Amino acid sequence: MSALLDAIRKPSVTNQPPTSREIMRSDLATVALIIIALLLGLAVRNGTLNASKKVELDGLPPLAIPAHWMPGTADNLAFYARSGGSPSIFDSEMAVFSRPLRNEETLISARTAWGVRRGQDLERYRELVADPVTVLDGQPGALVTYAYVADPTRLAGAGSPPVVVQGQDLLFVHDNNLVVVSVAADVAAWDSAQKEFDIIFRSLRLQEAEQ
Amino acid sequence: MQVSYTADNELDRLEKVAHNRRGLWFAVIIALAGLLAFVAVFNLIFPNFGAGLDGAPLIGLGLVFALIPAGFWLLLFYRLDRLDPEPKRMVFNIFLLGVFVTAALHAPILDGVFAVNEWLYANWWSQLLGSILVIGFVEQLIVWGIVRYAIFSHPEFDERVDGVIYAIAAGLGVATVLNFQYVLSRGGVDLSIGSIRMVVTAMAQASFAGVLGYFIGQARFERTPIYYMPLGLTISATINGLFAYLLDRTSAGALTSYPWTDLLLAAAVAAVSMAVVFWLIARANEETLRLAKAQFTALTPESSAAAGAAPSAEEGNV
Repeated sequence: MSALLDAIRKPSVTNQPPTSREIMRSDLATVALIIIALLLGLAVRNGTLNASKKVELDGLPPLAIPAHWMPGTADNLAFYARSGGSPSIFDSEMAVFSRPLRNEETLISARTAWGVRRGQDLERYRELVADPVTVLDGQPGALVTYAYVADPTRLAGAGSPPVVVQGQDLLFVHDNNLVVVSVAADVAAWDSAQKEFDIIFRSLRLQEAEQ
Repeated sequence: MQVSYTADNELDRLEKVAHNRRGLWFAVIIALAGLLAFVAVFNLIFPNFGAGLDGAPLIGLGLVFALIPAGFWLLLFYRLDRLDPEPKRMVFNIFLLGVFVTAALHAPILDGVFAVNEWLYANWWSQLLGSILVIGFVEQLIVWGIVRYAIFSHPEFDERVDGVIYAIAAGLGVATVLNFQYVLSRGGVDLSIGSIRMVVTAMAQASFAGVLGYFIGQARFERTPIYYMPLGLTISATINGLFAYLLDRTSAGALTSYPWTDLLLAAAVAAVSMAVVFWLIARANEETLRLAKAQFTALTPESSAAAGAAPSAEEGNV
């Protein structure tokens, strides 16, 4: 420590000024350090964004969520987790819902009933688009994109305005159960949350269905 | 005779390099105290100042507040360092360059290239490493780049302590833009809390830049090893990152932040880092003068004759 302090205090044993070659050498070393630091920063960024952890649920296919997401509990849900580092007051979140298929119920009729339920549960619910997809080993599914208005701070008594939330419900049938994997984020943070949602959907091998 | 003439010139040069600017350090102390007084005035005496404002007037007043810490600091440099001040325009130009370069690079790199808001707060280690490797290095890169390429080779950069002065001016430019961004992103700010935030940013950036400026000053007048400037940049970027990390962690999990705690932390960091820089410069200046006098004595024929015997090992290096 003392040697380091001495080196910092008096780096040279002479009073000679540096030559232009020595200054250039120092510049190159500094620039190299900055490049290395920023590359390491990029590695930390990518490592954080791509890190995931596996979630095993009874009777449901295994899925992955971003490593920094925090699992929680919610009524009627098989699983729930949210991001702790969301820039919005509405944290990006995901939920898994599962129920047995009713008699003669198909994916299409279940998806219709699910849409009606969403319209009743969520404020100002609006379905934006629905796409046919496949999941896991090619099982058919539906990916519904929607928006609604949430008021996450109202119960806490805070005065923040409501938030427009965008979400996606992935519906598919697994072992005669209707499974709905939902993701949602503040619409302003939707694009930035895509990388995290991709981790979840990739673990279910979500693919666009051939028309 | 020629030997003596050259030695005199060299001694003059080195005495200039090693000039101890007591007025400057006094200015730094007064600046820190003045910034604390600025916060006290708008939190204790006029806590409702600007309370009736909203929209453009509130933003305008916030932007004026954002300029006050840097303006106050720069003004003190002139008033209290008037015995041998740096050219006013030069210091102000470096400050302006700090403003422009930060406005051009800071947000595009941090938000555009690194998208820090998407991942920095994901967990403690990403926040710690990201604060140092990305935020700390980018902000100190701006300060280093400005001082290195705008003033480093200029004849006015003729004292070791000039590295600190110009780096602080560039650092205050960085702080001013960060404060502007803070005001604009919130559509104006509560001026009591806002004044604390702005002073914290200005004190902190000035401190980090002061540390970096010490290394730049040394690299300008000493033959430094290849690791010396990178070491200085690493130290200042690490302090910068650790400070940002600590500020965020002290308020994490709380319903409200603690601006007074942030202010105390910033004042402590500024006081300690400036004291360390002052001490390092004073010791380096002493060492420079000691070597210069030894060299001068060795080069003067009469003193060489008086000394008679061979020079000591250290003087041999001179």
